[in-house]
Amino acid sequence: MNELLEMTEARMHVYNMLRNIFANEPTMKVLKSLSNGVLKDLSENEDVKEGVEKMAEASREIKNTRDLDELHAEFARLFLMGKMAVPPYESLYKGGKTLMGDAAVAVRKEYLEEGLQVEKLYQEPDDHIATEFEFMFFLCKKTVAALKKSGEKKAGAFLAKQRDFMETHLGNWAPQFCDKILDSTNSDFYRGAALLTKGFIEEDSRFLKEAGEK
Amino acid sequence: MKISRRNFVKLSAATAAAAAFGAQSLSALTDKVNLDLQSGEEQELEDKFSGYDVKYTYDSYCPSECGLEVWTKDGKVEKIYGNYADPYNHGKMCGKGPLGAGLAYSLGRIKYPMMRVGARGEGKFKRVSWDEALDHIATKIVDIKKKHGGESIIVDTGDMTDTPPYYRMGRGMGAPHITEHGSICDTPRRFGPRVFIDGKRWEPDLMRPTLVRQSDGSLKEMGYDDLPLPKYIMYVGWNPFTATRIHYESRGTVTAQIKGCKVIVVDPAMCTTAAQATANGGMWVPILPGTDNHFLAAILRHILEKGYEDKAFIDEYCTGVEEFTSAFKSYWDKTDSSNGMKYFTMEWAADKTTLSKDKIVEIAEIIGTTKPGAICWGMNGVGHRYAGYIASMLGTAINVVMGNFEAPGGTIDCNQVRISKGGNAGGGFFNGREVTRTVNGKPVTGKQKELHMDEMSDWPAGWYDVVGDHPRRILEGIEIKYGPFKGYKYPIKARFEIGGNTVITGSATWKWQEMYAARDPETGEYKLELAVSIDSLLLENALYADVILPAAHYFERYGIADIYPSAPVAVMREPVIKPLGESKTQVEIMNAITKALYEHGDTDIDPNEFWLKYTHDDIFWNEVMEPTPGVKNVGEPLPYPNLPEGYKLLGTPDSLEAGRVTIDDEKKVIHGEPITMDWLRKNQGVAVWPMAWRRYKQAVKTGSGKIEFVWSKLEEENEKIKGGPRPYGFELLEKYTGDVWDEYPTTFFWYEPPYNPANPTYAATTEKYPFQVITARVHQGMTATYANPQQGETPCDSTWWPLNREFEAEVAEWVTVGNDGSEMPKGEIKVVNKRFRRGTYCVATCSMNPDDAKAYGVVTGDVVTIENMLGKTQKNVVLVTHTIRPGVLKLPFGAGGRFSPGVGTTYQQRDYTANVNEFVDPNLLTPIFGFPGYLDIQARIVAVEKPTFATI
Ligand code: SF4
Repeated sequence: MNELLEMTEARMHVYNMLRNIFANEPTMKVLKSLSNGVLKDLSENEDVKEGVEKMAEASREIKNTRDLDELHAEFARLFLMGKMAVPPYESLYKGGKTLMGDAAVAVRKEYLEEGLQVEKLYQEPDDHIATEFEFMFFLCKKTVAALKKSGEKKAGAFLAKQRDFMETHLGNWAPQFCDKILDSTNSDFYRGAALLTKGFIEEDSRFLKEAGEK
Repeated sequence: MKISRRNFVKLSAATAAAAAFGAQSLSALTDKVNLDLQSGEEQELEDKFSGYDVKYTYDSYCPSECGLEVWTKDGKVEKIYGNYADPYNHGKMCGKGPLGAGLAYSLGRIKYPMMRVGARGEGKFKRVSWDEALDHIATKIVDIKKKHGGESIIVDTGDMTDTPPYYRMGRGMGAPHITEHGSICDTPRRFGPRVFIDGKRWEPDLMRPTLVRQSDGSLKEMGYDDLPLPKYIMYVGWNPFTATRIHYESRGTVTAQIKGCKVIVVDPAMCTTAAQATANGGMWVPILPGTDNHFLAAILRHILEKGYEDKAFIDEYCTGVEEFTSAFKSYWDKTDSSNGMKYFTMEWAADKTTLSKDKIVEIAEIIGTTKPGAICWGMNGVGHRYAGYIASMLGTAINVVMGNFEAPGGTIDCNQVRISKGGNAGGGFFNGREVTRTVNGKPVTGKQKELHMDEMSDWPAGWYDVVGDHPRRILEGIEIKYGPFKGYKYPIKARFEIGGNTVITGSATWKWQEMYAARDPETGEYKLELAVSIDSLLLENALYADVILPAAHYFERYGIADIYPSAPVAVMREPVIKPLGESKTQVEIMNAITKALYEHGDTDIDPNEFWLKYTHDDIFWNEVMEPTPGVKNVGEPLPYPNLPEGYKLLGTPDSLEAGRVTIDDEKKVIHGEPITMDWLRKNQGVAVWPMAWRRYKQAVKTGSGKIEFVWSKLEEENEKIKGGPRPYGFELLEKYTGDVWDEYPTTFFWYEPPYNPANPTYAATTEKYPFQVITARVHQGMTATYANPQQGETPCDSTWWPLNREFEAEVAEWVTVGNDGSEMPKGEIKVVNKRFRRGTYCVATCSMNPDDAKAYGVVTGDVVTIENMLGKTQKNVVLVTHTIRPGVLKLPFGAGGRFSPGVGTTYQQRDYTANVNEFVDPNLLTPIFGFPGYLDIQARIVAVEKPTFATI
């Protein structure tokens, strides 16, 4: 029980980190922590390890605001503008080719079931990878609270929801998304982020499956 | 619970990571769920349309701005239909209208403010907050204004009619020069209407249905069967079937043809309109490019010689006809040394135009003996030519002397009879603001507008603003040459561009790029210190911007459309979906920028004129409609027989109809109930006032009240330049044609077109560069619309043809999802990823006559390298076709050589398609309006590439 709690708390933190990596450009403060090796012992997974290392190295290369601007411009090129090199929206990996595709409406329903909606409803596509990570972060948080308060029973439902969401949404497109980043950029920061994400999703999918099998 | 891999992530490291990334609270998601709940009325709609919400708005896929009915579901555009209440398109759309969602949800949308990180043009940007972007803009503008005044700012409002907020913003911050796309589109076409009646746009009387007052006093919607239609229409360099600018013109032309109207299309290329005409008893007249003037001059001479003109009409409505005709006739006995023939004779015109004499006589006879009818000229020729004024002048004169102007089934100046809008909202009054500048050491006080970079400087009659000359003016700076500030000099330091793409369309493309990249030799900074792009898609212009602000797409913003019906119509735009990302409406952007300026200490900005006043977009647009419809109660039949004739009408159609009005006899104004956004919401988004004909007191806006053949408009300009320097345009005219002007012509005038085989001065260039390059739009596509991949699926004229190399793209396809037994299969449009094999997708195409192709060994699909008379070279894939006359290469406008990754599939074809504006001579600016000679290009073919496996 304590192990499950510890694990879920850890996962919650990772999801929190992932939503930040793909929602926002990194600040100098974040880069500093990364270059100090804050993620060093995060996981034994090979992809995660390599990703963490790359991100740390890349962070050390950012010395001034000019470098930072370049990194932010790379973020914009990949995920934000001019026919994004790597569109961060689920719909685009499920056969759709415009914003606000079918997956956006599908995940909107999932969020609503948990009493949530996108802060800027109808303005930001619901199926942005960072929003999906945030949803997992939220579910982890709920699980942690449930584990602390009422034990495993209620927590089980939240874990089941995570597993479902992983199976129907995040898990079946995030790996492709990460591969597309690896194909599209020379930036070690985002290559690292892609590896870290890929490795983590792989492990977490397995974790959720096993947790479900009990 | 057993978890075998429980250690795949460590809590201690994860906790540290979380600390590094900060916030633990939700940001993209919220637990404050607030779905738009269904009120009673919405519930009704919900039941009716099974979940769809219906709103009325208008299109902006092209500038036709057709009324639309848009169905949304789950906050998303699902279906788009034409709005039947709008007589302009009457429920119809062209093929592009339904594709609007492809632009709204394009991956190329700009969703956040961006700031440049690399060099201009490099396309490297980072996202910033609105506050950061506004802070950057305001800091720069305040500094620039401190050093150089508000006159050093240009606001270019682009190609839409919903831009009054940007006019207000620019004028409010002290910029007298607010320009628009209309300044670089088609101004020579407007010359005739402008000088004869102070008008703009003459089109055949084809808009049906239209509301007409009946003899019993009732108002009736009348259609094609009930009203006269033109018996002939001559389109000179105008292709309405493709350039769907005047939506009703296509359906109107077809219907008129069915009813026996003869359609004559004068164009070097067999454009869609010409093809349609010839298939229905009309004619294609494949004239030598640039000789429309010669053609029309011969027709006018023929009419006058035969005495076909409508003398009664001329006597009643015109002035100065004698002076005009005597200036015209003064050429009749002169011999043109280039061919030894008398000017304006049929033989002479046949020689110049390369048409047969019989053909020109036949056409002149039709025009001289058939009534009603209309001559209409456009941007495929006349409107984009250096000598286009002359054809515009002659076309106007012929329409008038034949008595067709404002006759039922004749020709109508749609600009004159459309609604008035804008009023104070556009901020015109700011231009009257007093400013003081030090001129030659002395303080001089005058009005803001007297610092205008064109009208008070190099282009005294540059009524439409001289955007084509911006690169030179920005590089060289401005010197005021007329008015109180004469002698004052200032630089241009900031330029806002809203929804425009001058880097592709503004005249010679390379000159624009050169201007943006130019640096001050002393400081090393960019000469133009601030370039701001406000747009919803990433176009080439944005690549040169320092700051990009995300503008709401046309489904997300407000507006009032007024173009170009033949009777007053107002159409409302309002958001049918929420603005994507952080994009904002025009009023919000105006408010945000002016507020930032104010907070940075700009004392020109009064909060009460901006954000404190316009707390909602509706307030602004209601103010825009204060002068609406603003037309006079005149014409036959009189629109409102119950109200005084000749008075100006204001207010809603229903209040005027019911007589719920107050009448101001002193000012001769009838005030109905004000028209508002709310009124429009309740009336399907559209207000329609009655049609009438012979509305001369409304349509003719000259000082004399007559159709002027001696132009007071230009007499006024001559007063202005008296004692001042010769306008820059006169210097250019002398350089390019040898003609010497000391003042503006005030009645008939003539000069020969430059870079043209018909002009002997250019014999040497013609020999070296045997081809003329002409250009026209594709599907009336604007440079942004190529971002929509569907546009590549429909060929157009012979300049948009499936000659692609293999590539991958997303396209919309009809997917059948079963059949419910009714006639129509059930299905939906889906966007799918597709690999396009060679020759299956439309790209910018250069059309070439088979005789020319043979001479150069070219076959369809080859890529030719074209070199223009200035030595610029570009490549384009070729279509060999009989639809173009020999000696002419026709390329599309804005469709090739597109170098922004934001423009979709066209970007992938940039290596073998040309941006035709790269060929424009940047100094070839027309003598009066300073308009670029977009179509005055001579060229030769310097290389031919055959496709190889590597290139296909
Ligand atoms: S003509 Fe223009 S405005 Fe009308 S539907 Fe077509 S694209 Fe839209």
